[in-house]
Amino acid sequence: MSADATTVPAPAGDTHADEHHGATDGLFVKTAIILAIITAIEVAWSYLPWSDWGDGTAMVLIEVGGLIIMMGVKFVIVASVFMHLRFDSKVLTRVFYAGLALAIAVYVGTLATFEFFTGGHSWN
Amino acid sequence: MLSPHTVDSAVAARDRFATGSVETVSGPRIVIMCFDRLDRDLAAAHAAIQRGDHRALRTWLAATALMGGIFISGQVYEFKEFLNAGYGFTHSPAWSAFFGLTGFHGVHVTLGIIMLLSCILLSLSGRIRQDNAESVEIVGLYWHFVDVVWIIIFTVVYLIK
Repeated sequence: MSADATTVPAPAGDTHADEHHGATDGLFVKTAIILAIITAIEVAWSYLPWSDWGDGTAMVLIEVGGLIIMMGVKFVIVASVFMHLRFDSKVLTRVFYAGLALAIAVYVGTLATFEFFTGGHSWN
Repeated sequence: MLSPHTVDSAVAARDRFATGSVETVSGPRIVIMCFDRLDRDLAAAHAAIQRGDHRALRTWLAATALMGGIFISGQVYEFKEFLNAGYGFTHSPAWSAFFGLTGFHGVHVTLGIIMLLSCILLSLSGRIRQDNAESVEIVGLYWHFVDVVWIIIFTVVYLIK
């Protein structure tokens, strides 16, 4: 069965046999450089004197929101290029991100039960 | 690799942890984060075996394993620094979270390095061929999944105040 399976032509649209789903070494290098740049911006962002520029939730939202956005961009880039979801069937992308959404929901729900977001917890 | 500045950053991070905040930017971890970003060459390793280029495959695998090893070395250094300063797993919930998250990630990276080295040995013995390149791809998927987990850990644990 397995021996026969290797001789069966790949179905239309199956680009698995192509060189890494059509991706090239150049794409990987360019992607890695982009990720390194985003990481550098993230680190620099975290060192900015946000508290000197104003108090309140606005600055916190900008600082944390910016970091979360950059984190999300990096996550999507790695999943799309290096885990080659971009080159695979869309159903795999849906399954991957559905699992991620479920994990985040469980995590946020768990934190909420510990009153993490309302300050009811103590780290000390 | 670890300059006085990075050590100072680690100490500052340790002090911030001691105050109960999970905010920290650790110099050594930024250094190893940079190396972690370079481990993307594993995708190139898979592309190489699909071309039938075994030398390139082994080069990329070895480079990736090396970067992973440097990452783990930095993590061991960081853990040692914190433990020597008296901040262990049971010091506070924040430290438990820190050691739990980063420790489990480190274990997974270590397992990944073992997989990479195994692939090199399999390649040398001729058991990884162009027609079964999926084995390298599977290791790559594992490696990059551990990588995306680190992207989250790095931001949440080290950067967000």
